[in-house]
Amino acid sequence: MKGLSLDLGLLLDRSRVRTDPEDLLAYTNDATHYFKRSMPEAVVLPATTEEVSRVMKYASQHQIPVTPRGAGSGLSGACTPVHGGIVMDMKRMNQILEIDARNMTATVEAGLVLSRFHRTVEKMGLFYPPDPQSMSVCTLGGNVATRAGGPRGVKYGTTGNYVLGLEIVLPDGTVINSGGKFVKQSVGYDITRLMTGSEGTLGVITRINVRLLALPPEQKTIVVTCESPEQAAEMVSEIIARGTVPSMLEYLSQGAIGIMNNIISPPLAGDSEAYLLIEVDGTRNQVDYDTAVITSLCKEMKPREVRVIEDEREAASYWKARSNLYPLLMTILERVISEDLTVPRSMLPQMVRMVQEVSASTGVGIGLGGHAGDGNIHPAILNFQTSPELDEKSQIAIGELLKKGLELGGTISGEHGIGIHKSEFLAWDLGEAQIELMKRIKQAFDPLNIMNPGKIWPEGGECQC
Amino acid sequence: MLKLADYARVINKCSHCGYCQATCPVYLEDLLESHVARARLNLINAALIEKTIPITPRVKEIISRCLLCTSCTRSCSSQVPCDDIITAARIELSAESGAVDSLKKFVMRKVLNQRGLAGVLSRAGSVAQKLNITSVEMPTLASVTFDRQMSGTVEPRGEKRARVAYFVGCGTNFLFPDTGLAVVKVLAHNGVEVVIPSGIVCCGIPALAEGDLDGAQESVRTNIEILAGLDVEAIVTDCTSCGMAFKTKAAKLYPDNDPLQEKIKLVSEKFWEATDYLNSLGLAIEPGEHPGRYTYHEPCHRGWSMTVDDAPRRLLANIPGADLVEMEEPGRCCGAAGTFYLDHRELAEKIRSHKLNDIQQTGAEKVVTQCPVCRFYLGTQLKDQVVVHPLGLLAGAYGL
Repeated sequence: MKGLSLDLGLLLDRSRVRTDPEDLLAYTNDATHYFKRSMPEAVVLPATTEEVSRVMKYASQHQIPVTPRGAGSGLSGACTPVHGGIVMDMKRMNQILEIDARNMTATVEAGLVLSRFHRTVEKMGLFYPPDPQSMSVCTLGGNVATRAGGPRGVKYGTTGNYVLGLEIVLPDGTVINSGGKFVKQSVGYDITRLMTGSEGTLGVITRINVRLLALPPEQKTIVVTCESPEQAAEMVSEIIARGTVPSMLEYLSQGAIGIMNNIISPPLAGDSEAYLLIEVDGTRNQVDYDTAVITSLCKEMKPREVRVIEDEREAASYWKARSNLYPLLMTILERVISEDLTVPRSMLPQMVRMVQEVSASTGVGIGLGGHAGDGNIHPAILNFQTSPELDEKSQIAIGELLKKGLELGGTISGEHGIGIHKSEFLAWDLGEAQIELMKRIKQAFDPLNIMNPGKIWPEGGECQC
Repeated sequence: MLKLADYARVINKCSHCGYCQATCPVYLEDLLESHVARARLNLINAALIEKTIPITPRVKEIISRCLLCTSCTRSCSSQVPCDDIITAARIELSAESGAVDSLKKFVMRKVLNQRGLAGVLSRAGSVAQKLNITSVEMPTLASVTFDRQMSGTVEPRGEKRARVAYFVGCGTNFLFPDTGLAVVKVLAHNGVEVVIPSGIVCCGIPALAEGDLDGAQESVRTNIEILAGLDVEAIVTDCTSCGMAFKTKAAKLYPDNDPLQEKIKLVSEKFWEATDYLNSLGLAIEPGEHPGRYTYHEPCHRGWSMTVDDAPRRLLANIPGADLVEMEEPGRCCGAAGTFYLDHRELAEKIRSHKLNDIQQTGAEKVVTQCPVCRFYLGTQLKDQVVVHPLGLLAGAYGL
């Protein structure tokens, strides 16, 4: 311990090496509150790629595990250490290095907070759509490492659709650059894509080139009060099938609206079982057209109410409430486990029924609230108390949800990643052959298995081949 | 009560979303995760509630490196009262090891809590030397404190529209009596009869920040006994922190069954921030032309009323010619936080630097804020702008 602290102090400024247990404790969890925590031996806060490289070289030489970390706002345990070692807190590397309006690209450091990036580019009339709901704190590096997404996924896709290039520090300290500012490339393997979603298991992402769009000048929010969850799900499928693409299309349960009313102003009548919260964006004409198409389409299905929210502040209160849904749930619950099972969108009605069945058969409360528009409706385990029995039942319910979601042609994670949370279910989704291939890739990048060991697959990332 | 044991359940209401990283002024400077509410709560839970790790100097340092600005509490969607939990931790630490600086305790107990006593100024005047902090920025004490300039009942101008008590905080009394004079004059000018109760002491927030529960209780009891006995419709304060003390903290200092609770409820229900009160009452007289550009700094302790953060803007919009120029982040902390800036000088100065920069960007000639500590701490560094209380500005427009 002492040796590690002294050694690291030679590699970067002493104040940016922390080994006191009181500091290390802060790095034992992410945005989940239900995993067993284990302490790292040190936290480093590098300010440059050079420092990251020095630490990686040292860690390689001494075979010390390294866990890269953004804001610690993930929901899979991916950025928490499970085998001790060093946590690399990237938030000091938070500069916007370039916004190139002529090329519609930006180059940023990995620790940059997403909302700051949003504000900066939007002031210039530019747009970076990915919007994980933790955007007030989460970092671009963390977004890339987890292939994060948010409500805008329905129209704009997720982080993976915007990454053009990366600067990566490999486990032995070598710095490589993949991709660049160009919009296409056909040169060998696509390392940029491979790193995107790699959850810190292949290397440390230090710089990111992203693609930007022009900022849509207008938005409009529509709230639909549905007769039933089934109707809401059918409505989502119908909207997608008819070819109109909202910028956001969220499904919200009665319970979700009930607590969101802490923020929604004026509050929405919470007497229905299901709601849709929709945003359309674009030019004025486009927004008017899409609003008309969506409202008439929804009305055809005879929901209780379709309301276009004209007041901008009122509309903003809905989206603020939506982004705070996860912490809001804790005002009434003791434990929330947010899942991101994602199905083809035509399967949403079946998925809603399936979730209700799993809830009934396992006796575990499961809420629905999320990005229905992209098939990711976020079933969440809602526990009003905690007990070992309930934990066990919840785990069974999660297994059931994922298994049945796969049967509907879905995938076990749409945007949170695997981390430690879903590693035991990985084989169901990928199959053994694909996992073995991934492990060989891991071996090629990280032969010493020091990059975030213990993640994605249960065995700890060692190559079994 | 502010006892940590009582928070054992609520502390687990933290979802760990980490959204407090977006608002904590300390975290935004330090960028170290142990310095943000999520981690502070985990640490307090481990060291002081579950006692799985020892109480080390580093534990105390992390608990002390908090402004109690309430940014985390105000933005917490899980509604965890982070600042109360940190205060309760300080109370527990101070009870165990006497963590409160004995000289600070002296100032609070003997000066702020007995302000009516003769010779108070000479005692207060020597505070700086006693604390050996003469080299840092210290507020200059007013030559004549507010309570020596005004007392008793001030008659309203014209028809009486209301009768209120004016609670004078220490900042106004000792540092900025001009604010107090402005509050009383503006209220009276608008038909309000103003009672200035004697025997009022500190609101208790400074003692609480030091974990000095006894001192805070002593303050609150003295004030509540006086205020509960007044025949007034409202109690008005010019200071957002004093308002917070009565509105949301006082009741937490005593057990639920304490006989004082009833009086605390009675008093806290009547409490109003001065600009908020005037907005609700409506101005009886139009202010005169008072040209100039001002910007508004929202004090941190504004979470006790839904309308208080916006109240000065709405009130001052009544002044013809006074133009509000919004600064970039009006709600961002200035770094002073009571005596925080004395104990964490470098950090407080870094936090202040953003605020100063935002103020400079506006090109305003005046900075308006309710909090006397913000006024002092910003004022020492602003050469081209004056810092005034919103009612100071309004009094000027009235020519009072």
